[in-house]
Amino acid sequence: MAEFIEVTAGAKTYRIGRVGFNVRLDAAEQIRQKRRDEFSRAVNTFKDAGNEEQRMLVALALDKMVRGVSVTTVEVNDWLRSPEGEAFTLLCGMRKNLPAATPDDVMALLTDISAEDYVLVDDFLAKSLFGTK
Amino acid sequence: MYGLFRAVGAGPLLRLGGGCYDLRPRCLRHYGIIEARMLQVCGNPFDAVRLLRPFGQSAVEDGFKTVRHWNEVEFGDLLDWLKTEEGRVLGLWLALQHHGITFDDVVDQQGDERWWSKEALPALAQANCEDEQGALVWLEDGPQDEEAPSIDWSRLFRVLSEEPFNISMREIGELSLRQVRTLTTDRKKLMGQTESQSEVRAQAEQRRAVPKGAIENLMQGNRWDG
Repeated sequence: MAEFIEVTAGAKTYRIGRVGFNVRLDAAEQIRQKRRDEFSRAVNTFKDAGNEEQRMLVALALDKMVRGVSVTTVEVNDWLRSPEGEAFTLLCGMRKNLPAATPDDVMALLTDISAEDYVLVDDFLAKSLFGTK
Repeated sequence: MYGLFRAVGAGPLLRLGGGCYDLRPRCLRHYGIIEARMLQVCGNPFDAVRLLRPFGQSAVEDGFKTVRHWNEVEFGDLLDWLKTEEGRVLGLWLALQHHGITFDDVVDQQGDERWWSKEALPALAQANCEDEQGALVWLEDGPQDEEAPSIDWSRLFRVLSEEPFNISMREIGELSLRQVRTLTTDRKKLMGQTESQSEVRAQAEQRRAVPKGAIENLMQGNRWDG
């Protein structure tokens, strides 16, 4: 299997590398970070006019964050299949060639890429997800 | 034949990245490493509680109640963690690290789900060959909750570091759960013997004791057995 795949979108050539199994560990950390963000969002949303019900929502978000250390394989798979997870996988692939790649680069690629190239990239990333074994 | 592979130093073998390695069984120290890793990714939730200040003192107090046990990892949580992506990679690395393989090496050489289910997980199970639920039975005297089993680690270490074992903390860390179960079962037997021995000793003391009224008899010049 090739180490990189090249696609052209919007008159620009993108080089995407194999992501490997590491992306699954990074995905678990992303899911944990989302739980932390949920709590912070709940605090910021309700801190000005927090009634009893809203305080309970904040408490629930805190509880979920504290207990949510384990991210199951199913959760990782589900998240990687979501649009956010796909974009994250693509970003990891782009960073193999260009470490400074940003989510904006991913959005630019996804905006301009053709349907055929999208299928090729998707297939390449899916196959490379489990490393070299 | 059970356990022979370990006695002769030939653990189950696993193909990984072109090499073939034997797996070491998991010991208590490894559970400590797994727990440390879990706490590391958990971060410090007390920082989060500080964010609750705008909601008033009672909200902060409730927050503290929620997070005060954050560093107490239940054994059930450990087992759950070992089923996650990170947990099973960490578990595999712990079984392979004696070959000088780094965690990143294990991550880089991952196989697909088929490799995990057909090769890695069965080999790990064979290497560990421990009945984790069974090990818990003695450690917790109360009824076992199968959903969330727990081990009182401090009690376990206390039991094994005292009589009759006198095992050092370092040596305890190298024990597997199976060995712990064997030791603690032996301890129960030993304690049972000790109790019965003390009962026998007490009965002997009783037999040797001066019969009631014998002193008075002596003082009165009567014979001992009179």
